[in-house]
Amino acid sequence: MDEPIDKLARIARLELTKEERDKFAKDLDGILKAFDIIAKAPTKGIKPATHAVPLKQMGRKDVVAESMSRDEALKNTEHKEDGFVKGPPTK
Amino acid sequence: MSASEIIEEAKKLNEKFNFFITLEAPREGIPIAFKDNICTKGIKTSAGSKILEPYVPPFDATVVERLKAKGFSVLGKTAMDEFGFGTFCVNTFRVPKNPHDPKRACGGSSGGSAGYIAASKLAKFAIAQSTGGSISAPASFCGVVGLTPTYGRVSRYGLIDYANSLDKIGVVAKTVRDASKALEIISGPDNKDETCQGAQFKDPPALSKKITIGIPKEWLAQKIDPDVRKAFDEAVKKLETAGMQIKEISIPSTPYALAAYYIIALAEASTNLAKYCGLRYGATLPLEGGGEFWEYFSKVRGKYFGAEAKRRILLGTFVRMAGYCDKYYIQAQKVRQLLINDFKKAFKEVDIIAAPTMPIIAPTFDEISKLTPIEEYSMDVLTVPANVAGIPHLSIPCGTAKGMPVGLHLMADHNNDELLVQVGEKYG
Repeated sequence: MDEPIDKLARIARLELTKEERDKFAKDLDGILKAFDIIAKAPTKGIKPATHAVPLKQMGRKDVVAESMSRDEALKNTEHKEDGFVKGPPTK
Repeated sequence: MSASEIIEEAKKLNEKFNFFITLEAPREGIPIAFKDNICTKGIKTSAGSKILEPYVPPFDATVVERLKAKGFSVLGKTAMDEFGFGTFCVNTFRVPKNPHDPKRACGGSSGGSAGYIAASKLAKFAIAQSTGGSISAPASFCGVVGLTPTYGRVSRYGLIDYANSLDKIGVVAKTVRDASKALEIISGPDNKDETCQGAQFKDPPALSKKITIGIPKEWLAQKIDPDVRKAFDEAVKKLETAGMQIKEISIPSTPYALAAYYIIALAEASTNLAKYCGLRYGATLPLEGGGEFWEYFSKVRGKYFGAEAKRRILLGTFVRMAGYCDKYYIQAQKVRQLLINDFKKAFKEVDIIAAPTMPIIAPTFDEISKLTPIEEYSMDVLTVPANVAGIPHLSIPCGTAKGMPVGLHLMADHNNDELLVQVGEKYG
């Protein structure tokens, strides 16, 4: 059976060494305990704020504009083939 | 002063203090420094992370575009904590040293930008960015001006995100006036960033109205170095002498602000960092197969993310998980609203809020190495409230403690950035 830290690392897509795993498990425990203070905040009837300032729905005119070329977009990876990004082979 | 003099000086300072990750030699324009999480066309942009070290953006961030249009060029990319994850600018592969004392840190996460402005005799300003205090903290530790605008007044297009609802691009500068002039250039709506809805900032004339300054009693009750407190008290006297009225105020939600900040910031960071998977850009590994598709991502991420990035990804993932989301993430967003309500109430009584920027002076690298993660996070206690609420804030040098600079932190209501700058200038 996985420990919670193993499940968390798997969801977060992070391969950890044994030392990292043990260290982070301990760190997270302490940090989450400190975070628990927010349960005491008087938030009854308060709506969650997703942003600090009110935002309007924004749009822009639907016109064709120049965009990045495929070559430029692929310049930063060595894993490419026929104009596509190439992923790892899977089972 | 010529461009070549600026470049020559930057090279020498970089050898001594490690301010830059990448240093260029632009042939045109006035060279200025940008924090390394701001994309610059054709110039490496790593955000202080090994996972992005090879990345060369094929485009300019809006702030870079706007500065180039006004005759500036890219001098280089300054050192920063990996993705902005730090208070001291040590969580990265290039650690800048404080020009006032090289045994001490510059502060984070915009440490390279602040240190460079403090040490340079030629540069007037550099571009920085804040999520929870990353402009104010290094400005305070290095003895320069740090101006963080209202959330949404400067476009984030081309900024490598830490936490979208908190990130603000701003300025570190020699003087308040220099910061103000730079903010005028980079601010204003941008249709490439739909959260950038604030009006363009206008470099304001001298202050002409009577000002009341509020000092939150809960903030002064925090653990503050007595010498920092002394410098702050002197600064308050100076504000009074300048004709401003001082008033004690209350921000009752203060005890919850730090936890709310970290929960929101890390939740957003963990989703933002999901895109670094070793395929489209940044560091890669050989494409060996046989496993699940995500096993490759996990290997790349495990190898190239630094320890603090991993810690924050794990925490951010946890606080969004089913069963914990309401307890942490949603509750933190409610606390953000509480904090905004507290500030709105306070700004009915006062025009500006003042506090020390940081509770300490720049620590030594040795002192930093002994801190636990939660002790490090706690150092942000005075800078996170303004950042969570998205209000503009300004750190101004206000004397010294033990020979190191101390910062005076001034805050204004949303979109009152001009008033903030006026009061800052009046302080001098």
